[in-house]
Amino acid sequence: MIVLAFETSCDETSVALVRDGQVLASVVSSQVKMHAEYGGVVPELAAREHLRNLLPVANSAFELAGVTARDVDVVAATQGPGLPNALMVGLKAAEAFAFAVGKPFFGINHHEAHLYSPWITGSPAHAEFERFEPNVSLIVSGGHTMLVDVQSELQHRVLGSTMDDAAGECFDKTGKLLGLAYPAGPIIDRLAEQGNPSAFQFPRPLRNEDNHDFSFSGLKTSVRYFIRDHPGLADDAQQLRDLCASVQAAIVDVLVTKTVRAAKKLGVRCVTASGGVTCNRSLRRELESACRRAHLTLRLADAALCTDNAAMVGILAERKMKLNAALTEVDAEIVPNWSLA
Amino acid sequence: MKILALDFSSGQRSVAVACGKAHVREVIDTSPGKAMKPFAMIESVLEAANLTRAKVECIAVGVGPGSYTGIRAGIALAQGWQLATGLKLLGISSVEAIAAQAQSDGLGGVVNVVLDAQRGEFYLATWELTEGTARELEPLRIVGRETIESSGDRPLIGPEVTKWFPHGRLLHPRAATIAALASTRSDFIPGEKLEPIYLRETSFVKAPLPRIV
Repeated sequence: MIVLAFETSCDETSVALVRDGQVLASVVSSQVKMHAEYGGVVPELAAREHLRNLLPVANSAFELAGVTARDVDVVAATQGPGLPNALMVGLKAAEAFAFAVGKPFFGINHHEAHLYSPWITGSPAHAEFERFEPNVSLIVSGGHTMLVDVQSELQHRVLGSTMDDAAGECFDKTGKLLGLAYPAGPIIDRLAEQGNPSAFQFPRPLRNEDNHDFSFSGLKTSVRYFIRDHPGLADDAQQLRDLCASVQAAIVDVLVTKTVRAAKKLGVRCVTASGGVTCNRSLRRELESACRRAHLTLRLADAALCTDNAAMVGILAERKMKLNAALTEVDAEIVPNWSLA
Repeated sequence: MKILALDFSSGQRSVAVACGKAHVREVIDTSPGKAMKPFAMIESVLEAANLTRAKVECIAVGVGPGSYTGIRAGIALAQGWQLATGLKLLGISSVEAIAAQAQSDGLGGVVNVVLDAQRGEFYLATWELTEGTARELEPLRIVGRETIESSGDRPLIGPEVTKWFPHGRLLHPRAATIAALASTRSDFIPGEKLEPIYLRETSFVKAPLPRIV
């Protein structure tokens, strides 16, 4: 079975081809450089770029995969959540493909796809669903931070999510305050590697609360006040590294503590993590260390699958097809605020 | 050539199929709101024309100006179809469709096609309609209300024109007209080159240059 998948929920145009659990090709065209000039994603520009990039990206994917449009058995696209006009480009193109050749179609929840991206591994990338076990999954990105109880394949419930800013948003806004380029997450990661994470103390919001929710807006405000009260500190290269390391430590501490505690509370033996912030090296290290101490198996999404990609959309669609999940009608609309159940 | 035409650029969305000039079928959706069912419309029009999806050889899309959301939905649909079957694509100005529609409705002389450009401005194009032809006199541009008001007795036509100019005549771009226009054209373009008419320069505010990249 060959699945053609599209992902255009934000600022990456991605098309993938998947066959029997293996990613034949996953091509991503990132718009990050264009949006960096504006200090964040500009939805109107994102939609324009998706329209320009979709076919070249799709044609590259077909070429890399060594298959043709006639070989496609199933079509899928991210239906939500995401930026409305960005989502629409991928969704309508995918629906039209499916309609034109009479193939089944799946509209996929972007977060649900993230839940399974840590099970895609190796080279060539393939899904290891035979090794699937119930898990607590951390999805952490610029737009979302949530913990999900994944009971079995396609069965999950959200345990908690952010009440305000996402963790990635906290990284980006901290970066903005410090004059770092957008997206600031990778720069903070780089600077923090040579900084002292204990140099400055920042709050760990909701870390010790007996719930699975997150809140990062208070931490962001705390960083703002800190910078206001320590003018010139960020001009010193080492102090800047220390500040980045300290803010990052606070974010990572909350994410790791709450994820491991949720896994223990639910009695699962596996933790997974995905989403753009999962590229953060400190988060990966701390999750590994905490899971080892708690005797939990940890599955981290590969770096290429942490950020938005169509491979995870295709893998999930193929799994849905195999497990006889309900198809999506081709006239389905985008669902920009689609919450994971 | 069997042409499927789409126009989602105005509140009156339409889909048409043409098998030569004489045989055109059209479905028009005037329901309020943004929700639309383009594939149900296409299914319906193909059925009316007794055609299967596989027989469609070209898709002609109304590229506005008008609702970016609707226009992009049409373009993305055309792109996905082209990816699947390799059919040909054409972009047709919705203004040209309105002028051609006016001409076939019997309107004559010099007319102004007027569309909402938001921010208190308008898209304006001037066309000359004679028996059998519609010819562009002045290309599409963005103007203020006063420019249109100073155009004298020249008839104003457009999809929402009476909202601002009560004496105007409501005319929507129609897929049937786009299909007819497309049947005379051969300037097919690759799907990635198909885009809405972006007449206004973007004015998004750039961030200050970062200290560290």
